[in-house]
Amino acid sequence: MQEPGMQNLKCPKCPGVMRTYERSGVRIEQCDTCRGIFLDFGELEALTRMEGQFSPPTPPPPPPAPHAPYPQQAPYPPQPAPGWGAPAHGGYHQGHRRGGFGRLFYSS
Amino acid sequence: MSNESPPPDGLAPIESSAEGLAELGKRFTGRAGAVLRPLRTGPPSVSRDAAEVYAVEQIVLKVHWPGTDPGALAARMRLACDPLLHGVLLAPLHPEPLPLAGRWVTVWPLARTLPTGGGPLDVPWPAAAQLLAELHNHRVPRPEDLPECSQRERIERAVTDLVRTVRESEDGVPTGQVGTVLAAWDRIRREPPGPFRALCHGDWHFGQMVQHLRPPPDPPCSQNPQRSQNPQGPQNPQSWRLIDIDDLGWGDPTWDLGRAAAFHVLGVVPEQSWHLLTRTYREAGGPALPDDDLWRHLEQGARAHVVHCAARALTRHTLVGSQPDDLDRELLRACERMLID
Repeated sequence: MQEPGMQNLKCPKCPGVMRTYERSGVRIEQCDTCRGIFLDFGELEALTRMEGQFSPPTPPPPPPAPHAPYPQQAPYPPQPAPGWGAPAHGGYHQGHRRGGFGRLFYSS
Repeated sequence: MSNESPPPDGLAPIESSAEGLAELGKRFTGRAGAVLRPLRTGPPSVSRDAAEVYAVEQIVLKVHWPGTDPGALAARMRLACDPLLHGVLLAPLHPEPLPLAGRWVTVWPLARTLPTGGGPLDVPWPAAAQLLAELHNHRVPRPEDLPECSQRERIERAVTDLVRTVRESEDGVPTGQVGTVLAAWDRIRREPPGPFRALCHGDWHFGQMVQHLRPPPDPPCSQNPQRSQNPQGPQNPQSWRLIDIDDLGWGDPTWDLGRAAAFHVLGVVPEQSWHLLTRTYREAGGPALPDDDLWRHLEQGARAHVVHCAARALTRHTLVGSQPDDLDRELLRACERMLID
């Protein structure tokens, strides 16, 4: 569903063309090449205002700590887990998050 | 599909034609007047386009979500009918989707799901690994005829639902950090896809694993169902099948392991379970993990699942006014950390 006025709008990041799509009632401007999304005026500010109303400020991220998710007897060498993982758990040490495992039983 | 919690009021209405479903129930059970029971695993879906699933005696009627592409669904049903996949996918009782009141319905045998209250030591990790490895190794004669696995579309829908829900929120108070989730997804979608292509499930989790209640009937599309005489029991990896073909198709097999990988990174899946999953998958020849560098292969899919779960959690809290739990907050923090180079 392309909006006539958007036909010639160039993507600011690549040579692609921005196209307007309506999906489930939401209008999205998306580059047909790099797939980047353009937010309309005010949307970013609205999203920014939403920040912080949900959870307390988070501590600064830890450095991507070296972490071995495998036991020593693993046949594979220990692997550093991704740096965005849970620092307090480091992938899993003792016990597991209470209630969290149920998330592996349904489609979110 | 055997969990039978009734949907709470207002969240999972029976939208499909009850009369039409009853008629289908009569057609496939041979009995009129059988009770139609809504089936659900997990909390009520916050997806605006969720499927509805009902049991009538020993059969299951799945009313697929309204945006279902009928051609893709028919192609996926053909895969579910492929005798070479009968050891992997639950075979339907009728080979084609049936139209009903503007929706598409598929017919399945009622099967036993895992109890949802268990922990990571109570689930069959080796069976999960073997099913996924076998699915991923299925030799598809003409991949060009397969639908794309809708791995990315599922997350797109979750993000779109989140944005729309927040916009429509009467309070003007979304549950926060929406921009972080959008940015984390935008980063993933700009990345090149992984190098592996295979037949993928697209939405694997333990709710998608079932066992037959009794030795399976010969499906109408079956010639020689494999494994059908194997003994039941959670310890027998060969007794399990995958259900839910809505996303099945040609895609990136590393993303099928992404949900478990994400929850391992977040501290939910313990080390020994993770090790069991990945070791068994590799020993079964699963193509998503061709070498020791597991996180190089799994990291993108794990991030994608974190974003998906975070988007759905935010949508749920915005819709019902609930508060995020510890894991929800950790999902959101993980999205924040993904944005730090």
